[in-house]
Amino acid sequence: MILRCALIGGTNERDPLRVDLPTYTMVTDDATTRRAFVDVPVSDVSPDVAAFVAAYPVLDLVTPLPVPFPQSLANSWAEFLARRYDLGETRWHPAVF
Amino acid sequence: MRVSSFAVARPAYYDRNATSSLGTYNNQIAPHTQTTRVTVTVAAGKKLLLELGNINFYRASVATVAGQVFIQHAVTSGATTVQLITASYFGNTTNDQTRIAFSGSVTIYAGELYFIDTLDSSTGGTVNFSLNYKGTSFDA
Repeated sequence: MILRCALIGGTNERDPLRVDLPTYTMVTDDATTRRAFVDVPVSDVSPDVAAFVAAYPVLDLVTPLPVPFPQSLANSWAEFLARRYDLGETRWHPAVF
Repeated sequence: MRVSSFAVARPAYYDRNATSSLGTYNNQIAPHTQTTRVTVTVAAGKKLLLELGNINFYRASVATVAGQVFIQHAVTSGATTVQLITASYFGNTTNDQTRIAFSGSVTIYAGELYFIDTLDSSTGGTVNFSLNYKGTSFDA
């Protein structure tokens, strides 16, 4: 599933520019707008996030979302990923952006 | 009545809910900071057998000032990172191409992370990258 997500990092080689997801393949990115289109396994996208992405489609790496990605959705996605990967304290905090 | 024991052989890895794990990054891009193009995290109860990976890249347009072009396939446990293959290029010749591939059986365990990074520290110009991997994820 293709999502447009926020980029994090990029300060040095130990903190590369990346998307805060456990598994993805980057399609294209824009370091200036700090956005990237990434291909994410469908099983890593919670149904409520998938519904949000379907409701607000985006076509480029520049145009902002018509509504900000809700913090409650970000929190529930983080918990969804934590349950799915079940790796103790490891957490990811991706954001549709 | 059939009696079995714990000594019964387990199914082969490819018969334990195995699924392909595939990734490909293909782009012609400008200089950039070190960027993670592919990431695979192995979930609890799973393993990933990395079967092949490759690096193909060439300079597509001349840089004003050529810097290092760098690609790595690596595995990290968090504390320790091991590079599986790397490639560096410092030249500035259009269509100068580098191709490297590996195949084998690198097993990546739960909690470990496989990733592919790129870097181009040049000023101006573009490099065409084609980076791929194929693995099999299965029940540990």
